[in-house]
Order: sequence, then C-alpha cells, then structure tokens
Amino acid sequence: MKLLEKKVSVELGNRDFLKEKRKKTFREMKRNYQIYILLIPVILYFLVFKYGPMYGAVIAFLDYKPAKGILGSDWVGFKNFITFFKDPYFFRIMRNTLIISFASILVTMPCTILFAVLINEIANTKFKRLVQTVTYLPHFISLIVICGMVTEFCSMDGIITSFFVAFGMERQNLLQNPDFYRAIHIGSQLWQGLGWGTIIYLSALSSIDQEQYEAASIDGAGRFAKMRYITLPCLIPTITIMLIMDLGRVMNVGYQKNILLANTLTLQTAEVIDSYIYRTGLASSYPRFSYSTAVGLFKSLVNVTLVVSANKFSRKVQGSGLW
Amino acid sequence: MKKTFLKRLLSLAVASTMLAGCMTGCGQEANNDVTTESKVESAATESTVESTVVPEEPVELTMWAKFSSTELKDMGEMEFLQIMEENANVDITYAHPSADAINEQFSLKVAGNNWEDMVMYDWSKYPGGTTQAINDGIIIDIAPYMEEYAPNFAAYLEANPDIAKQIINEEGQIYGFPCIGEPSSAVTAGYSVRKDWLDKLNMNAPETISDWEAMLTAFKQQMGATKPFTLTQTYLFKTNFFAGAWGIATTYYLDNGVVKYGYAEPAAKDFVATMADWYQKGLIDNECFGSSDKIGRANVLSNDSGAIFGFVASCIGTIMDSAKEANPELDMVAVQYPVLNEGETNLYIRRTAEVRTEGTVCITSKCKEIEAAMRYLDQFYSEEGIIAKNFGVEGLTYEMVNGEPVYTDLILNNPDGLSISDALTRYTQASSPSVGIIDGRYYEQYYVMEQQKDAFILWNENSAEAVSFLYPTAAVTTPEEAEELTSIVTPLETYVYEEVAKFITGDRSMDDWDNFVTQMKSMNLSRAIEIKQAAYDRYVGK
Repeated sequence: MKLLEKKVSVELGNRDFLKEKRKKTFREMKRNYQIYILLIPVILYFLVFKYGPMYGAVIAFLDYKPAKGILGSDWVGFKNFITFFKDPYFFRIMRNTLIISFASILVTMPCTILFAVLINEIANTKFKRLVQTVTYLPHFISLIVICGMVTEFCSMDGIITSFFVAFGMERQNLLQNPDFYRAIHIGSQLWQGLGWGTIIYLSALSSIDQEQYEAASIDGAGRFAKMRYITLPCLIPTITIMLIMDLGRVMNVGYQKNILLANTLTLQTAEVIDSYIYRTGLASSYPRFSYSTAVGLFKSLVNVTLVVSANKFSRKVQGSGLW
Repeated sequence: MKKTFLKRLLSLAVASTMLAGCMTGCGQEANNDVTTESKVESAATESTVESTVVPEEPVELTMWAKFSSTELKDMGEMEFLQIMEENANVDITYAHPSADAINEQFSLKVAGNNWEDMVMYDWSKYPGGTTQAINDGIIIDIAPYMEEYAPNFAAYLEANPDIAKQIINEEGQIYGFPCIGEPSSAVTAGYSVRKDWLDKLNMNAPETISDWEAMLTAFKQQMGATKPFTLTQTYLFKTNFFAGAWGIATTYYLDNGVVKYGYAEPAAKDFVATMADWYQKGLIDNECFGSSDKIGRANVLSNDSGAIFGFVASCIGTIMDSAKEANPELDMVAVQYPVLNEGETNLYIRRTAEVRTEGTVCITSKCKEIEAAMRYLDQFYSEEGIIAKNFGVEGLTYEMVNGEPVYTDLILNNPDGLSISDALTRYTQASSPSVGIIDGRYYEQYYVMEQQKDAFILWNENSAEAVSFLYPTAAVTTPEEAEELTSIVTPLETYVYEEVAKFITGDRSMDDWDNFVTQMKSMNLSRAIEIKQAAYDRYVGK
C-alpha cells in the first residue's frame, strides 16, 4: 500500500515536473520570440525543399504511370524491391559499391590525416601555404576534366601506363582491364581530394593547446613522440566524426565518374548502385521510375542504418559521437 | 580586437558575394544550355512574303525540340522558320533540351507530366509506344482534324500508303507529324578505307572477309598502322555489320517475317571468332572500348588506322576536310558492306526506315490551339514547305536555277567559315531529323566531294532489299509487354555485351561459346523474342 502511494506520488511529481518544464519552455520562447521568428524560414526551407519532395518516394511502392499520377497509380507493395533483390546483377552491384566505398575510406582517411599532420609540422609558413594551395587546386577541377585526364594517362601509351610498363607490366589500356578499375577510381579520387580533405584536420590541429607541446618538450619528447601522444589523441574526436559521416555515404559512390570511366569490359567491377539507378531510371529508353526509386530508397535505408549504428557504437565505446 | 572583428566581417562579406556571383553565373549558364526559352518576334523582319490578310494577333504556341546548331540561341532565330510561323500566323516559344541528354530530359518530362504544346522527339521511345502515349492522354490523336487542318499531310499519306501504314495505327489514329526520307537515301553510313594505302599496296577495295583480313594485315605490316581498323565499342558488338556476311544482324532482325536475335543464332559463333581473331592479332583497335567517333577520325588522320565505319558527311567528309592540311596524301574510298564469298550481298546494313521516328512532332493534350498547331505543322508537307525545310529561304540560302533549288555560297562557302554541314544546321533543317520530308535533291549538293557521292551511291545499292530485315520501329508493344520486355532485355543485353566483349579480347575462350548461348537462353530470351514477334505480327496484320 505504501509502495503504491509512493509510486503514485512519484508519478504525480513527474507529471508536475513535466508540466513545469513545458511551462518553462513556453515562457522561454515567449521571452525570446524574436529568435524563434528568425527560425521560421529555416523550418519552412526544410519542409518545402527537403521533406516535401520526399512524398515522391512513395512511387517506390507503386506501379507508377506518369499519365495516371501518384494518386492514380496502383499499389504494388514491395514488388519493386523484390525485383531488385532478384536481379541477376544485384550481388555484383552491391559488392562493387561496398568495395569501392570501404576501400576508398580505408585509403583516403589515413592518407589525409597523415598529410594534415605533415603539413602541420612544416615550420616555414610560406612553404606551408604553398603546399596547401597547390594541393587544394585539384579539388576545383571539374570531374569531367579529371576523367578526361585519367583516360589520357591510362591509354595504351599514356604516362601512367608507361610508368608501370617500365616496371614490367604488359602494355595495355588500363581502363579496359577490370582488375584496375577500382584502383583508378579510388586513386583519382585521392589525388583530387587529398589537399581539400586536410582542411578540417588542420583546423582541429590548430586548436591543440601549444602548452602541451612545450611541456612535452621539457619532458624530453621528440617529434614522433609528440605526434603519437599529443597530436593523434587530440584528433580522435574529429576522426570519429568524419568516419561516421563517411559511413553515411557508403552507398553513394556517385554515377558521374562511373559513366565517364567505365566501359563494357570493366562494368563487372565498376557498376555501382548509383550508376545502375541512372541507367535503369533515366538513361534507358524505357525508364523504370518506380523500380529505380525503390533501388534509391533501399540505398538510403542502408546509409541511415549505418550512420545510426556507427554513432551508437561510437557513443558507447568513446563517449562521444555525431549527436 | 575590434579591428580583427572588422577584418573577419569583411572577409565573410567578400566570400558571400563570391558565392552569390557563382550562383547567378550557374543560373545563367543553365538557362543557356538546357532550356533556352525565348520569344520569337513573329513580326519577322525583312521577309519577302507578302503579308496575307492577318485578321488577328498571332496564336501563341510552345515547342520542345532538339536543336543542335551552336550558332543561334534557339530555333526561333532561324529565318525560314520565322517565315513559316508568319504564314501560319503563330508565335512559337521554344525550349531546347541539351543534345547529349535528350533521353534523360524526356524521361523527366514524362515523370513530371509537364509538356509544351508541341514536342519533337522519337515518340516511339515513349514507354509502350505512340499508341500508349495517345491512350495515356499525353498526346492527341490528330486523325479527326486531318482533312480540315492538315490537307497537305493528309494528301501525302493518301499518295504513300506504305508510309501511311507506319504512321496510322490499328484504330486509325495518327500520332503526329513525322520526318520522312526517301528509300533511295536510306543508307548514309558504311565502311570506308584509305584509298592512298590501297594504291600503294596495289590492292583492290575489299569485298569478302578474307579480303578484309589481307588488307588490314597489309596496313599493319607494310603501312605501319598501329590500329588498322578503328571502331567504337558500339560498332564492334552492338551494331557490327560484319555479322551480315554470316547472314545475321547483331540485334533483333527479321528473317522472312520471323523475329530473330543475332547472337543466339549458330552463325554468331563464327562471326565473333573472326572478330576475336582480328582483335587479338591487333588488326582491330585494341583501345576501341573507350573510343569515340572523334578518336576514330583522329586515328585515320594520324596514319594509325586505315579503315573506319561512319557517315558520308561526318566521317568521310570531315576526314577529307581535315586531311587537306593535316595529311594531304590521304584519300578515302567507301567500300561495300563485307560478304563471306564473292558475289554475295550483305543485306544486314545500316538502313533507316522511311519514317525517321526521331524527328516526330506530336501535339500534346496541353495544347489549346490545336488548329493553329496543325496548320503550322502541315506546311512542312506542302511543296513550298519541303523546299523551305531543305533549302531555307530563297535569295538567302538558295536560288532557283532552271526550276531546281541550288544552295548559295552562304551554305556552300560560308563567309563565317562554317562547314557545309554546320551551315545546313544553321539555316535549314535538311540534315537534322525534324518534322517534314527530306528532299533527295539536297544530298546531291550536300555531298560535295566525289568520294562522298560515290559512297552514297555504293552504300545505297542494296537498300531496297535490306528493308525486309529491318525490325520496324512502328511495331509497338503493349504497355504490359513493354514492361516485361524491359525487365528481360536490360539484364540480358548487359550479359551479352559483356560476354561478347570477353570473347573478343580473349578473356573467355571461344570453346566456351555453347555455355554462353545456354546461359543467354536461360535469361528468358525466347520470351523477349515472342513479345517482339507478337508486336510485329500485329503491325503487319493491320
């Protein structure tokens, strides 16, 4: 009986507490109403441009006929998803997407971090600026131009081919060999994004307290010891955030590079989800709107799952995450 | 402290201005590239046509059409179209898709269901075909208005029942105003080789497959060609007319009214084996998978290649033109589509149907002024309209000489330095697939070089018989069939092209061919053929 009373009182207390809290929030909103008015355009922006269009995603569950419109088309449930899972190329597309994505994270991330740390170590400011500017530049070159350069360099008598021929490779067009496609894809991505990717790490590095380094020097720590015991641990939160964000993009390899560099011979290692959606959804003469929307939706679902679980994992293990 | 803050504020301001600048820049560019919409002053400037009594304001219409000239902002600036518009008392606002992405942009229009009054496109590509487009309420059936508003087009169809059959469907509906060419000009592409090399080697133009092999080998060994036969991957296995020597086509074709798929026929093995042999001997360009028509032409000009597939104008014409400076010795000669044994004829050639579906203008259900649109489009089938489409404006782009239209120097020797084909797209619609009838007389003047004239005559020799193998584009599937066909054909074609590519490069041994055929057949090929056959039977049955 006493226990029950206690429970009731706690619940009542809780309710009061919630009421109190709501009141507080309301009062706070009233006091700072100007700020909330400023917020309205942002909320509207998200509703109109981000959440509004999501309505269109329902066509993934329809047998969408443009002439009938979304409301007039028939519901088919998960038929489009099942068709995709049963597609003879489903496993190939998934495998390529995941391999290219993960390999790209595995290669790009350590390179970028290492490069940022190295830039940070440069003492001469002028030289440091020069290195930064030079390595940022490729980021601004259009992807089409990059792919044109790659095609040229990897052709039969291209500069990259000739380099490998000097080490005993048989002379061939590198872009026609399925074994090389992923390396070329990731390599060109690394070349283009290396400098640009360091920006966020450099800003994290600049916020490290210099006194730590001074103290370490007094204790007799050398350059590598300082890197190992001060720089890297201070970078861990940034690295975690970047990793979680990358995981949210695992299924987005992008179709542009694929369409510009892949050909019939390399499709077996090159075709990814994005290029598949493009080919079946828009470029084909019989566009399959519902089907490609379903594939896209599936892709987003995987991305969201990955990012949420990575975040949870990071909070458990490390105590901090993206949110 | 205050100073730093000011500095920061200033840099932020500069950065945002730059961003804003970028965005407006992008906006403008998009406008120019993708959908240049501009208004055409219908009060055309100095046209010589005496103004017929114009009782009212011109009717406003909109039109979506591919436009490839880079000289003009949009079609409304073309002189002969301004006159056509004035005659029909209409004022057309144009929207142009970017030429490279026309399929995607049409798909987006379908998905968004937003249409101009008139849309020029290959409407046979609409999911389910033209009849379905009418049934879906996208375009209107113009048959009921024909007699009244389109007398010229109606008269033309009456006089040409064969062509009418490709335009009028089973229910008597007519979907639109197509582009029509003459049978004698149905083949504008084929194989051509280096004449100067043949002369040096004392060889004749190749006829048979073994002639070809001997010639390519000689090119490689004696003329130093690194890639004797330059091809793109499309012409290597998607539409390779060498297959015709073995009596098959690489796509769907008709054999006495029976639909067949080339790679599933027994003869395909020999054909692919020959291609593989040539590829592995280095006779076919080993970089063809990433090649393009442009690279191919460059290969010929730089003496890397001696044989190529291409069009009379864009291949032979362009190569000969550039060769004047780059490689004066170079001379091209067109050769007949190859055969297996001397005396045979290759009938599986690149022949277009009389009705060139890609230039069809359909009137959409959004159009409120059907009469005005019909009257405007009908002009392109009148005698004056045909001459205007092909030759442009009298006194400007052509003169009448002995009752025949002859291009002026504005086209043939353009003062602004345009090539003939660029000048033709700038001033006329003779060479761009578009509504109306292609006048055969234009070819005689368009193909100025002897080599081009010879090529055109040679390639068209067998065009009349070749038509019986052509799967007609007018044979349409029902929407259900179309959906099923797509779900079969998309993975099937991916499989076939990838495997054939492997056979050709030697990644897969020819001994494995039978497994390939079994696998291909297990991917529901027979059902795809059945659907195609049914569509064809319905087409001929009417």
